This record gives sequence, C-alpha cells and structure tokens, in this order.
Amino acid sequence: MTPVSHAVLRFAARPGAVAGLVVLGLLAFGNLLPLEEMPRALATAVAAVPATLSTAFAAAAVGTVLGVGWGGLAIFSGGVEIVRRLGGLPLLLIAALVPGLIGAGANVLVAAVGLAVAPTVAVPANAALRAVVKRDFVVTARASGFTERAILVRVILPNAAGPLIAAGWQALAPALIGVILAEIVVADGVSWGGLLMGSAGVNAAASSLAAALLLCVALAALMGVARGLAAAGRVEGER
Amino acid sequence: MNPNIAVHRLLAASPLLVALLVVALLAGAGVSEAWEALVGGLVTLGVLAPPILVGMVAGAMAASRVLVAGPSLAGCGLRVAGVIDGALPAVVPAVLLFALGADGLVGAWLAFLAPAIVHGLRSGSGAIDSAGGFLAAIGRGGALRSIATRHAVPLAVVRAVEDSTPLIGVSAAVVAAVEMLMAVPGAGALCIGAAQKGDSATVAAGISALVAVVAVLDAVTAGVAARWLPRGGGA
Repeated sequence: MTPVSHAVLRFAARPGAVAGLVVLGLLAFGNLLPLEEMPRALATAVAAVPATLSTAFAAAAVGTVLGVGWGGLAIFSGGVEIVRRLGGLPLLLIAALVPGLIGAGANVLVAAVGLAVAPTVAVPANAALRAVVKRDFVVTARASGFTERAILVRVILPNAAGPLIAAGWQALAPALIGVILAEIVVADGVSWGGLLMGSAGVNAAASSLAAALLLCVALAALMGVARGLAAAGRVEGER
Repeated sequence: MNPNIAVHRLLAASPLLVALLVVALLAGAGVSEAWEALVGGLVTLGVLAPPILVGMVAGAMAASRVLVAGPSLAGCGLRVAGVIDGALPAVVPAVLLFALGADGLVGAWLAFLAPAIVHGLRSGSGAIDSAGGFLAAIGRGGALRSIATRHAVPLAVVRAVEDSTPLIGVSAAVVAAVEMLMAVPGAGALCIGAAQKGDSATVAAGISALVAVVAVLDAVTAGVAARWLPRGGGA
C-alpha cells in the first residue's frame, strides 16, 4: 500500500470528513441544484454561495502558497515569531476593508484575504516542514550526495505534502469569513454577505436566516474536512 | 490577576499601536476621528467583554461539573460542543436575534453569548481532560461535588478565559459584522461605515481602536492565567 492510499483510508475512516466534503461539493455547485423546487429564501441563499465560496477558495490557495513559503523560510530565519506578533492585528478585517476603500475588484480581494490568512498557514507549515527535515531519510539523502534543491523537491515536499495540505485547509474558514465581510462592506444584495445583512430586497429576513444557516453548515463542513485531513496527513511513524 | 504579566503584554502591544496611530495621522485622521475611534473602541470592549466572560465561565463551569460527575447524556452535549465550536460565528445568532427583533447592545451581547458558551464548554472540558491525573490525585477520597467546586471549576474557567484571546483576535471581522447588523456604534461598525465612504483616515483610527481593545483583553486574560492556572499539574 502506498502512503497516499494510507492517507485516503485514514481520511475515509472519519465520517465527518467525508460528509463535510460532500456538503462542500453541494454548496460549491449549488447553482446546479433544482433551485426552483426549494423555498424562495433558501434558493436565493444557495445561489449566492458558489461565488463567495470560490473566491474564498482562491484566497485560501494564495494564503497557502504564501504561508508554506513563509513557514519554509522560517526554518532558517526564525520568522514564525513575527506571526505571533501579527496575532494582535485584525488582519482579516483590514483585508476585507481594502477593496471597499480603494474600489477594487475580486482580484484585490483574493490577494488581500490571501495575505491575511497566510500567517494561519505559516505556523503549522513550519512545524510540518521541521518535522520532516529532522527525519532519517532526509539525512540519508544528504549523505547520498543529493543537492539541497533535489532534497527539497524530491524528499521533503512529497513527505510533507499531507500536513501541508491540512495546514492550507485551515486557511479556508477565515478566508470565507473575510470574503463575506468584504461583501458586507460592498453591501451587494445578491451576495452571501449582503444576504446576511438583510440586503435582499424581497423576503430579506428569511433569506438572511437561510444565509446564516448555510454559513454554519459550510463552517462545520470545513472543520470536519480539516479534522480528516489532519488525520490523513499525519507523517508516517508520528503519533 | 498578575499585574506584571498584564503590564508586560500591554507594553509588548504598544509599538504596534503607536505604528497604527502614526498611519492614522498620516492618512489624515484629525481629533474628531481619533475621538470617534476611541469611543468606538470602548463600545466594542463593552460589547465583547461581558458576553465572552460570562459565556465562557458558564460553559467551563458546566463542562467541569459534567466531566467530574462522570459519563452521562450531558457528556454527549460536550462532544457536540466540540464539533460545533468554531462553526458558530456570532454573526449567525445575530441574524437570528435580529429577525426576532433584538438589536442594539443587548442584541450584540446575546449574539456573542452562544459562541462563548460553546467555546467555554470545549475549552473547559479540554482543561479537565488534560488535568485528569492531577484532579484524581487531589480528589482521592473526596466528594465529587467538592472536587468540581474547589478544583475543576476554577481550572476550567481560567483556561477558558486564557483561551479567549485568540477567539477575540481572530473574530475582529465577525465583531465588525455583528456591530453593523445590530447597529451598535463600535469600532468595527465605524471601520465598515468609513470604508463604505472611502474614508481611510477613520478606518485607520478604528483599526487602532480595535487593536487596543484586543491588547487590553489579551493583557487581562494573560494576567488571570498567570495568577490562577496551576503549574506542573498537567493542565
């Protein structure tokens, strides 16, 4: 059995993780569901979710790339301490306010939220990379004459991939909150954030409640998948 | 509370605050914006501190009593709290409460109470679980109620208060959304309102106020933990 199949089995052994993945799939492709057969308020909320969720996924991807890079560099420079200092700064709020302030579009929002969630990824990514760097097979590869670049690409990253994916997934929930807040700032009636604030013209209260319910469901699903990924991504031999 | 730890935390946050205030001044914030932000920060402190402290203490006390009493139906409730902690941002109860007609400061308090209770339940049960050996040792031969009251409850409560700092820091965005929904004139709502008007000076002043609120709460919770959290007890 390959390490990947082991990881998939460990993920599948957690019903919450699998259910979370299914729920996220349904939410992400909500537009394909039979919306006309749903109550109007719920259909309005379900239709608003995919755009917000895809923006949050993009922002989390940016945050993951930046966070993993940050966590990797911090092995040599001790830059994780900066993350702790940034902890007192409301980065997500600042990121959500930037597009509204400068009148920018989705790309700036993705970049700003990605930057804001990068510290969330940097700390666990740093821990995951440090754990792999200390392992015997890395020392063996170095002793065998592999270049540092080859060790990074062919030994460290593949072995740290599971924990790094789990670390990146942790950025999704804050990214979703950040994107929703940015939508609140813009006060757009058809977005998820706009619906939460009751900006939908007709049936605003019911749409707002439906949007709140979907937010709870989405966050619970994200957390369920995060627990599954944490279990799946555990480095072999680790307890 | 240990005043030394609290002062140290406040001093550690001060360079960040000074930097933010300089940014606010450079962005053109005048006396009126600074005053508005200061009042907003105090309102936010008033919105956050009571429900978080009451909710987390209540949750932690409930968790410690349930766990010390042994497995029961309420124990399943604790497991549920562990699952939904983090999936219930205060904006969700806020929407529900707003639909029911609650708004203003009381509405915001009630909105923050539910996630604080859930977090207190989880944090408290985690503290008791990790201190199981310690509690068993001190409780040998004692009555369960006495163990819960004298040891488990304070342990869970202090750990819950200590754990509240990231809850507060991470959820500044949620605080702003709740203040906006409930029409509370706090620093978060001030930031959103100013961003909608493109007023960067007021946004910078409002962010400084929020950072100050987080720094004060962080200093208080760190001081509480330093004074009352048992050392070497496995907690």
